[in-house]
Amino acid sequence: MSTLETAIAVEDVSVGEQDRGSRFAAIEQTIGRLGEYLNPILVKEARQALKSKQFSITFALLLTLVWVWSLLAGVWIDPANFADAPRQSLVIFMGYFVLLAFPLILVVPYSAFRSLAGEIEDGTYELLSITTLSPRQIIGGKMGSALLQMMLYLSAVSPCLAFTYLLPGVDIVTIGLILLYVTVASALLSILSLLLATIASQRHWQILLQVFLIVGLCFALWCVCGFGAVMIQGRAFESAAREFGFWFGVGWILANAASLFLILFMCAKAMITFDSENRSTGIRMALLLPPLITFGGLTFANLHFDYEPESIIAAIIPIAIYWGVAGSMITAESPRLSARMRRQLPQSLLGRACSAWFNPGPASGCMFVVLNFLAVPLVVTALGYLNLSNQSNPFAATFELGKQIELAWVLWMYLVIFLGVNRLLITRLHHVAAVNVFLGFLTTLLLFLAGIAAPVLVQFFVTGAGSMAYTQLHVSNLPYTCVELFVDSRNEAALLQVKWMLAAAAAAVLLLNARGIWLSLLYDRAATPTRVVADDASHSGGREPREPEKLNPWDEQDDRA
Amino acid sequence: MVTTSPQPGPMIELRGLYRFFGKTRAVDGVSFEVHPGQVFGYIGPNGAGKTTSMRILATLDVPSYGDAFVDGFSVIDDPDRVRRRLGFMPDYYGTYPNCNVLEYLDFFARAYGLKGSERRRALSYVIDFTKLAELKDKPVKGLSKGMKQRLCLGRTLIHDPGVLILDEPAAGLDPRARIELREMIRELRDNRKTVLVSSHILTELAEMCDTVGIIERGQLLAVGSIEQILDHHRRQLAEQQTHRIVSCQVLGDPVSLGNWLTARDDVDQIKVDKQLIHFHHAGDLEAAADLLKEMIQADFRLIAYGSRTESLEDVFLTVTKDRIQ
Repeated sequence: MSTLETAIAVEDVSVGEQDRGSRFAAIEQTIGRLGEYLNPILVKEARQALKSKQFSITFALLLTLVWVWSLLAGVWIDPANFADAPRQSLVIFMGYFVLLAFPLILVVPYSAFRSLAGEIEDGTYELLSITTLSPRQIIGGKMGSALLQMMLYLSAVSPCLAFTYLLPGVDIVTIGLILLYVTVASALLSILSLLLATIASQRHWQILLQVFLIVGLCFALWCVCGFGAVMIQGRAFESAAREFGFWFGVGWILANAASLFLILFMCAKAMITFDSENRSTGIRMALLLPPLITFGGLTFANLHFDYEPESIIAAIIPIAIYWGVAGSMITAESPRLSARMRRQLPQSLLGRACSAWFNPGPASGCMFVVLNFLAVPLVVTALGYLNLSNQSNPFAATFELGKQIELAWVLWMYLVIFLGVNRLLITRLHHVAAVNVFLGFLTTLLLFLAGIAAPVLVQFFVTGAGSMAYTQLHVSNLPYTCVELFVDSRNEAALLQVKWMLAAAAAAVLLLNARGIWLSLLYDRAATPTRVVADDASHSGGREPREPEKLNPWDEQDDRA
Repeated sequence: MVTTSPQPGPMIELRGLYRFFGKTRAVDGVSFEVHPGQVFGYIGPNGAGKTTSMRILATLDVPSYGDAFVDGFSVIDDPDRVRRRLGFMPDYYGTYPNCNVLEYLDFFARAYGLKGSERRRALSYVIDFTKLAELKDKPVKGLSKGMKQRLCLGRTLIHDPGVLILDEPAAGLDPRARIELREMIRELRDNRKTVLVSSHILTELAEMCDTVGIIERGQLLAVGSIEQILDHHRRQLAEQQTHRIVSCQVLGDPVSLGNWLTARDDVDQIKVDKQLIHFHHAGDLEAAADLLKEMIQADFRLIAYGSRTESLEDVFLTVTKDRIQ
């Protein structure tokens, strides 16, 4: 009998003995079977956390402080003073909130960061990465562990929060919203911390990041507590909760938070994904969500609740910044599409034309961003013209059609220019140095700052410090041009010329990038190696290799590949 | 567990592999094959490129040019399939705090996707194979180096890979632990595992490897079975003349013996180390005996005298001569 066979025999005997055990053994076996479906990282982290001093001390400290605060509250509350009771209740509630916020905003995200950064430092991350665990499972497991810790801390404070509900002035909606708020903030900060942990592999950079993270988390704790205090003191939730608009707003904020979480998750996952794998498509799909939710939510709010139409306009600038930042990184992606990725490409030209913008690569990425942001000026223009023809629409009253449409189109043209130039620059840089997405962000930022500084400096040296009026020279100065669009005393002639210059520059930049964009459409699907096909066949029970699977809607249109 | 290639072919193949770090060529056009059931010894001084090429095979790094294959799968294009077939033991332990031996192995078994009874069987097998049964509830941080190395070997074997890559597995181990490790590698070879093992303890590699590759400054200088490499080297030497390595210990002044030997035509590469003298002697065993007789007749007070043919270590030193960084 071989060693393995002996091991099996021993195992079978021991399992048989367990089966004859008590009812508890059956329950344990059921839990064990359920545990098979849990993320291995979560299981490991939970085991380690339960034995770690850091968690034990934090949990014990939280529990102690919460009980001390409860005792102090019991002593402090004056049953005879009915008039001051709501204020006292809110102070007690605020105390619990701050005690809960400390571990959730500071300890949990920092633990998530250390958990992954520590693995990278100790080399255990490398051992993890060569297992069959996917990057999604690794990040998901770490995040799951952070959520588990959150739940444990929440469970420690929950009885006390329930106690505050018995006090006058604290309603269940406020308690629920505050808990939701602090939990969502903690989850977002935890996934951000995990993303930061993947960025630096060298120790000195990790230490620097760690310092920034601690400072950032302290600031976040201050902000969360401050905003929480405003929410608690506002006491407006109970009455507002009876309205649909309130819950629509909560849902809208949660949807935005969820989409941001998804983006951060996809970025963290991409950071630890093997070079030849597709790291971009998931991120690009996630990137579509926030503008859709923001714009869609605001449009719905405007049409349904007679909300301020200016809010849509206010969303244009954040969305432009959002696509600008995303685009700056996307345009620094590697221009090479690995053979592994090319196995998944659509076979037909039409298929490639429709899905190419989601494929990794700077040219496809540049076009992806430009086309997505194009939706904003198109929608604003459409809304504007719609409102002109319908004077009963709430938009018509306050919508400053001309300026808003101008702003949207001007921002789009700037985006085309900055991203297009950045892509051309990065393409050259790829030949001489290793380029990563952060360098892409840096070069775009430098281009943006140079665009502001250059005309200002030229004007300063030519005309002196006295005159900084808007002229054609400021064509590269995005903020000044945007401000000039909205001021009453604007230089119409210069602004008109700048708009034409921008249009010409955007067209030129698009033309310069056209070849790269066209080439990104021409990637053919690579044949799957015979060894891979044979391996797949062996895993399908020895059946003959099947016809290549339909990977996308366009695969059937072209049989040549 | 993973099925290995049904068709004959190398389990490990490096094909024109290059890896640059800036201007440094860590791996410079390395190509070799390791066939099923072979134990391949990867020999080279520190910084030669052994670890870099092993990390590429383990999908921890990507080559600048060229490709590497494990069981026919490219490490660049199919790293997931490679990982299912490969166990990598790096030159560090990679253990977790607050974790005992069984939990550590259990975690990696789960990480390799083993579930239920399959995982329990794998754990039993690995614990039995690495003789960790008595230590399974012991915290990992309390293990000795030898125990940790056995634990790491267990982790490497947990998903029953067909290919094992062991980077300096014997480094830092005491003689007993080294012998145990050597025995385990031999047992793995008997179980038809393909093993790529690097070490700078050449005598040990000679005892457990079928094939060796000598790498220096990123370039593979020699590759083949130990017999092939030794024969090839001996033949090269035999083209000149028969050659033996002599070591002797002398009482009194070793320098005068050194001078006496220098005057002879059949002796070269003399090295004096305190009372010990090592030199190359052109001649067979008879000639070596005659040389001893002449030394005694010349009134040198010898207390030890030994003559041997070249070992793997000597070949390594000769092949990498003038190339060590």
